[in-house]
Amino acid sequence: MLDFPYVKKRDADLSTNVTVKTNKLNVYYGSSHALKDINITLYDKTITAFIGPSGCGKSTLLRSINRMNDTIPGAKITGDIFIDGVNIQTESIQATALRKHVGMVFQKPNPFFKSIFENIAFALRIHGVSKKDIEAVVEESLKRVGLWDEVKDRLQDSALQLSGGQQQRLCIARTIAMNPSIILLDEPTSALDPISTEKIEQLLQELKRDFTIVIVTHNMHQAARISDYTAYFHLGNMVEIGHTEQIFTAPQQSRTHDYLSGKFG
Amino acid sequence: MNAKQMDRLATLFFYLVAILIVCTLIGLLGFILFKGISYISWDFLTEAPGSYILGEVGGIAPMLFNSFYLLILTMIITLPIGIGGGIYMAEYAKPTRFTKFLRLCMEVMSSLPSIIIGLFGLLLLVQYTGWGYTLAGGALALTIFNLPLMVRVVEQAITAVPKDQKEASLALGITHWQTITKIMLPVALPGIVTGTILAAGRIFGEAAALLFTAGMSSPNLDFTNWDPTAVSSPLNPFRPAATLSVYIWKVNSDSLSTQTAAIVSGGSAFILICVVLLFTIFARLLGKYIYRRLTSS
Ligand SMILES: Nc1ncnc2c1ncn2[C@@H]1O[C@H](COP(=O)(O)OP(=O)(O)OP(=O)(O)O)[C@@H](O)[C@H]1O
Ligand SMILES: [Mg+2]
Repeated sequence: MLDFPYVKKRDADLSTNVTVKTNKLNVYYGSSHALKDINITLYDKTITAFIGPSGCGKSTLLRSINRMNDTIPGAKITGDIFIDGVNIQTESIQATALRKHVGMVFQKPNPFFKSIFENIAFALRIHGVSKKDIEAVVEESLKRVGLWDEVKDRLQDSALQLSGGQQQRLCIARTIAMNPSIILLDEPTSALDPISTEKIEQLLQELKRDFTIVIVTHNMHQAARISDYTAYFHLGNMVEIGHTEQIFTAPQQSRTHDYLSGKFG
Repeated sequence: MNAKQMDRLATLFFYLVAILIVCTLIGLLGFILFKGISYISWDFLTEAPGSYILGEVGGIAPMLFNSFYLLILTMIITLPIGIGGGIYMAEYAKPTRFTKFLRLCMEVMSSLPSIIIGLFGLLLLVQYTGWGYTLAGGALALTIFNLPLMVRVVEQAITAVPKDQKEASLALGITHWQTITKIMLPVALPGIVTGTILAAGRIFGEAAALLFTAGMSSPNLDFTNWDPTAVSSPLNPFRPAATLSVYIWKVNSDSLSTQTAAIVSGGSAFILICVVLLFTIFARLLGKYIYRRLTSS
């Protein structure tokens, strides 16, 4: 049987407001077909985990939602992605505006080669936030990720001096400072130690109150612990999506069951 | 012979080659510096040249000035175009056949024999334009070597910026152009600075391309007149100008008094080598300094 000592219980008051919905989404890199007819729905103020073996298309789907795939030469998308009911594939949607609304955190912490303060202030300034507001937003964002007390006396130091876990929380702070409504995280803890990982997991539980969160993870226990929904991908197909409690105790598809019981992956 | 012996022999061979290279360099530099230093004096650095044909040593002040000024003029042309071209090649050029062709052209351009560039410059920049021998002509001739080098320096420095920096910026809704100028260029700066100064060393020592473009002599310069349009002003870009390297060549090919030629060219060579060495050391230090400022302050 499946052996997950801790699986998150289904929240009673999960939102039914749809934030993201895709319709027959296909992504190709040149001739390779990375995502096949994906129909997925993500709900407001929930955490959805994407799991599946390496190369199954988790990052590709994530990067479609903020159109980061636009930057890859040869990437082609068909089908629709709706965010709050708006089709983001249409010409009139600017990728830069979309990405303010849909933040992204990467696998390896990637703070800018700038000061801690500037890591957050930089994008705000470019997007026209006034100088006075910037300081307030920097402080607030750092507080929300629990980094403020650790760095408030050295905001002008290089962000590269922080530990890996601190750097990743800074990257999350930088993302939420833009006031997005969706946060995409691509294996955000895979480069971190267990303690930093736990801090980030707790942080995500708090951020869930305000954001729609999608997290790609190779750590199935992490998915089981923190997410409300789990989607299992295999070879470019979304095999199954459901409440995390259901997926980790009684998956409907045998392929999901095989993966979760460690038969391959 | 077994693999181990082969390995030893090959290692020995490479060691010998390395030692040979280092010895040649030290020998060459040592010889030039050791011989040259005795000719250096304050007057040598600050005086105008004497009539060396008559055995007067004089100084090298105008040539030294010309070398630096020509370098600056060349950089004024190549730096902006090189940065623009480097950004284009690194971030915008698609891997098409045209891009490949462009790369090939630049490689050929930077490896053309400098005397050929000089003769081409004579035809185009001296005769066709009717300018005569000018600093501007010399700077344009040097641009032909320097521009491809600068494009490559900038392209490589930008390509070496970790990809996650670019992704982080784009993911915050920052445009591609702002990502390049505000995130990638600052990180690429140490590489660009180092590469630029090293390329400058090459220009500073160039002679053949300048013989027939900037010319082999300078007018009497009035170092109190800084109006760039005046004929005797050192800053006038449309005046002929012998650089230090050209001067060394000229003294040796003209002078009847070999004693004087040896002194003038020995001293000039000393200065030339020193400046180029300083460029090299300065390039490394400045690059490191900027990198440290960038990553730890
Ligand atoms: N930039 C790219 N160019 C070409 N093919 C790509 C590119 N990025 C991904 N692919 C291909 O698309 C498929 C899906 O890749 P993707 O990165 O989405 O997988 P993943 O599920 O995130 O894997 P992992 O768990 O290893 O991160 C893979 O077959 C991969 O080789
Ligand atoms: Mg991935």
